[in-house]
Amino acid sequence: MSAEPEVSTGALNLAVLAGLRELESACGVDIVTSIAAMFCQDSRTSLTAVRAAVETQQTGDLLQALHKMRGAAANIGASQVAAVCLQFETSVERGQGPSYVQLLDRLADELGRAERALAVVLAVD
Amino acid sequence: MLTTSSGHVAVVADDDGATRRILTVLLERHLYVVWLAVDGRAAIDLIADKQPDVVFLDAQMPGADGYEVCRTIRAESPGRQPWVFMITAAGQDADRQLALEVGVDQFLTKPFSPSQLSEQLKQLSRLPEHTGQGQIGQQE
Repeated sequence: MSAEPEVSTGALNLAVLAGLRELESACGVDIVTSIAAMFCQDSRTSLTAVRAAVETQQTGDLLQALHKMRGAAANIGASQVAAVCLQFETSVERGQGPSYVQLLDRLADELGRAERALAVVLAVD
Repeated sequence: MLTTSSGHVAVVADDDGATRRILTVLLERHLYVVWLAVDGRAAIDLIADKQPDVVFLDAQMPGADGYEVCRTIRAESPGRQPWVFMITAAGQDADRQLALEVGVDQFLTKPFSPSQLSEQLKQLSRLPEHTGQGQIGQQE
């Protein structure tokens, strides 16, 4: 099953948010705000787990944390976070250890961008 | 249990809270009674107990992954079988092939489209009872 088409080159895939908004309107319940809150909280936990796994060189834990973070990011349309997670997972699978610290920094940066973008989107709503 | 009933039952098994939330809202809109599990072992027990019409499985979750859960469902449920949707952040050909082999009917890659999934749920209500043979498909 394919992913939603990208309509934003920024931190968020606005088509994903639009799809969630549509469901929200149809059902009359909050979805976006609650999922955004889950994403921000869970991703910070996952980022901590990624950092710990890099430091301890626990490859299995690292892949698990990255995969979890990628899924959460995809759900809310944080496409750049998901993309960095995928790149990071690929590097881990290939054993490209020297790139991990740089990818960790990029992941933290993209997570921050996504959180700020979500805050703007939710404030506008 | 989270909704009023139309006679249809769904089980959602995913360790990601956001996915559980999205699917619950969507399924309740289609008047499914929704039961939730956060790991594979709980999912197997829940499916055996509730005999759902539809099951949503996270490919990678604690306890038993979605592939193992689906394999168990197909092996242990005599007669009536649920429709099985597998949800994953990955979407490689090998994942789809394995899903097909264990009897998954639909393969969802995050982010999935609620509107397209809604259409698929409508289609399910018009299909005959599941035969137990995997009928893999994907949103396009």
